[in-house]
Amino acid sequence: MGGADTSGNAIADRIAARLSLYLGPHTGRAAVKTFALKALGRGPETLTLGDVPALQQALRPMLRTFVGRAQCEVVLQQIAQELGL
Amino acid sequence: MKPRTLVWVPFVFAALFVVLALAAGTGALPTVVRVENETGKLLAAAGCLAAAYAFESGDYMRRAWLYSGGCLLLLLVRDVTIIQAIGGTFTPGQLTVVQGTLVVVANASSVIGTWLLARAWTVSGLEEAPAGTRWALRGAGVAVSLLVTGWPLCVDASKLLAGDLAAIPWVGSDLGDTIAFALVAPVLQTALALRGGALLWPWALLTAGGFCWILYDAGWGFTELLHVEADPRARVAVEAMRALACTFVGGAGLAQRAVVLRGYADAERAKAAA
Repeated sequence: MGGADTSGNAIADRIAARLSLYLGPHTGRAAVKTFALKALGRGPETLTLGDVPALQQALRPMLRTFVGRAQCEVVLQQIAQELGL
Repeated sequence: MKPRTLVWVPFVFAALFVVLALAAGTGALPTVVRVENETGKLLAAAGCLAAAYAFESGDYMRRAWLYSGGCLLLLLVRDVTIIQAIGGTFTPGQLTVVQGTLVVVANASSVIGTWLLARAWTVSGLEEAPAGTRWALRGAGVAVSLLVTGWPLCVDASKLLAGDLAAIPWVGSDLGDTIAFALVAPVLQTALALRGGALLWPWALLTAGGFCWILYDAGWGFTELLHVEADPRARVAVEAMRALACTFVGGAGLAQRAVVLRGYADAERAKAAA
């Protein structure tokens, strides 16, 4: 259950901050790193707004597991809103 | 109810039980213990069901909470058969089969529920701890579990092997405890990984409940080892662990429900602000 330091990328940090409300700061950051690598093959420091839909898609199974389908969609929607998407 | 409050409720419940049990004296102790036992199971079952129905049908955690709550509901049904007016409608042989079946199925339900909870992290796809750490934790979980349940499991299994079919529910219960106790380790691991987030609370309270169940079983083992099982103070001390375990699990369910429903509240606030 590893983690990572702050990415230095504003988009990644906003997503991690939203996830950390549920998962805690350590796992919030780790989740962004893990799923950015899985979905995009790149680290969170490279995230652009165009990558966010793919990252959201990758985060979906994890969020569904922990907070259920309905709340997963709420969290993803909040992320999109915060990033102005 | 705030999550932090849910941490204190089990201690209040257990303390209340201890005070009432010690004040009741030997004559009324079985009644006080029975009330604590059933109230604890009811609170735990209610918490598990509250958590399960905060999720939607098909959600992973709904199944986990339903199986955990199902165990407690089945044990409550078994306890109903202890009431003379209900149990008396069966022949002694039928009653043994009915109660035994309920205990075995309840334990199976508990094992499935705890297994699903223990697997949640892996299912989520989040990065796992290094293999060495994972296996060390699993090994420690199995070792602690066998330390507590190994002896009763051997005793009950030998009774069963000697042809005593009445030992079936005890063997089922021992096996269920052995597996469920070993699975407290991955639940603890998940709780630790979620520290600082809202999901910490259900997982931490679940872990606390698991530890108290281990202490409950270990407590019975110690009283038998020291031949003090008939001492009311020993019984009260051990039963206090059950009171804590049940209310921690119930609190975990309520904390889980609060986290899931908070998402709805957040969405409503966002909609209102837009």
